[in-house]
Amino acid sequence: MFKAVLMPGANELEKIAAEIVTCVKCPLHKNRANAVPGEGNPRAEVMLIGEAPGAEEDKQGRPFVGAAGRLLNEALEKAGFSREEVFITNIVKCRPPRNRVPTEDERRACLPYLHRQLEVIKPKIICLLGRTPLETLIGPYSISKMRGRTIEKDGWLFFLTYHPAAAIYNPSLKEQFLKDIQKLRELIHRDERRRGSSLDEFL
Amino acid sequence: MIFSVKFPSADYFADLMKAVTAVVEEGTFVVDQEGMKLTAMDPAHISLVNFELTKAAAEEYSCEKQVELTININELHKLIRKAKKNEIITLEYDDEKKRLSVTLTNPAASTERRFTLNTLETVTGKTPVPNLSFEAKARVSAEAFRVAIEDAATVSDYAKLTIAPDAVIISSKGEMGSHSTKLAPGGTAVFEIEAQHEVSASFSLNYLEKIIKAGKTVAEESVIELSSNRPVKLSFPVPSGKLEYLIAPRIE
Repeated sequence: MFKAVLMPGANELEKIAAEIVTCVKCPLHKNRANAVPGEGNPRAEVMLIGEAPGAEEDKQGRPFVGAAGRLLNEALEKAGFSREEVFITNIVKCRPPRNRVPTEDERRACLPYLHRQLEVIKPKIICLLGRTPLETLIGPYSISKMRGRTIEKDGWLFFLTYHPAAAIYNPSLKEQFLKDIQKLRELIHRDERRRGSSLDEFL
Repeated sequence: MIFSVKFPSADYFADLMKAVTAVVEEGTFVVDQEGMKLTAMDPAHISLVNFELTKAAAEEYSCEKQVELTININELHKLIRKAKKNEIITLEYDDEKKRLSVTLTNPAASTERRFTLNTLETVTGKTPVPNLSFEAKARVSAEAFRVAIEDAATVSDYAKLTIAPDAVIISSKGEMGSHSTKLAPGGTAVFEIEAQHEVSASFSLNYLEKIIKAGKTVAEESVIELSSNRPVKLSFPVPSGKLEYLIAPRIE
């Protein structure tokens, strides 16, 4: 599941993934073919979080491998990211029936896995794809009003954009989505914490 | 209207907003009976801007109650960047529509240009500000400082700022070469130095360049406050207001 198994953090992520694939904490496990823990670089600077696996993801056990995944790959590539350098996952790790929005109980049951993944990876920036991750991790805001913004909460830096599935058939949303992922790249370039100190150290 | 404020110089207000965008694209202004304030850090928490305009800067000022206004300052600047010298700017906020109205008036030509800007949801809380004391202080020409920083950027991506009792030194070192500018009192570059001993720290030129360039458009002098390997405070005197920046040091 995790390609870079020798990288620091890979073992911890594998442990979390092993728990996820056998998880029965909510009813979503009943209909899954495969749970989808997430994949990517265990030391990723950028973590992307979507809503939930879809049909293709459920079939393959990998995140964002369907049509929305193709648009996400295109956006990442255009912005100069490789899929291998980021970490991609979802709020819930099992597919909801008929791709409905996961319920609050399902999200609550699954969130500890996400929090553990965040603690292992410690990304510099967390990109939330669409309304469900925005509502779950930030609050009840409209994604169309919040997209393109960076928000700090609970010690994490979030960047907000549309879910690629919303942008596939809407050219103006697609254009904004591509621009947002480009902006995400610029935010990472601007982040010079690794080369210096931050003002937080002097608070 | 929760507040309505009229500033006599629209182009100066536009330059001030541009100066804030050297650190943040969006931010939350706190507007109350005394004036408007904004304190914000960039997403990487390397730099901070502390901006204030008191009601004394305004031609007319009324504010019913304190309000927090989160706006995309880049977008506000886009609306007003073409403001002309003789234009007056009026800002009005409608709390029900969550909309800022910006009017540029030219009394001599009897023209009025009106824009509206939707405000953003305020999500994050108050920006924490480091409580710092400084060992040395220098008041320098903003233009001389800008040129020195620009020179430093030709050889490196960071610069060392030094305040000695007799000079301000901006230096940089890259793989291909090095640079040093000495600004000494007695001429047009340094107006005042307060330093018991020499202090220095290094900073990213990416941040220094943006901030000095922005500050230079609103003020002719810059106050540098420095301690060894601590954040630098750069202030640009603004009439009836405040424009200050902090930049975290680069640790070698």
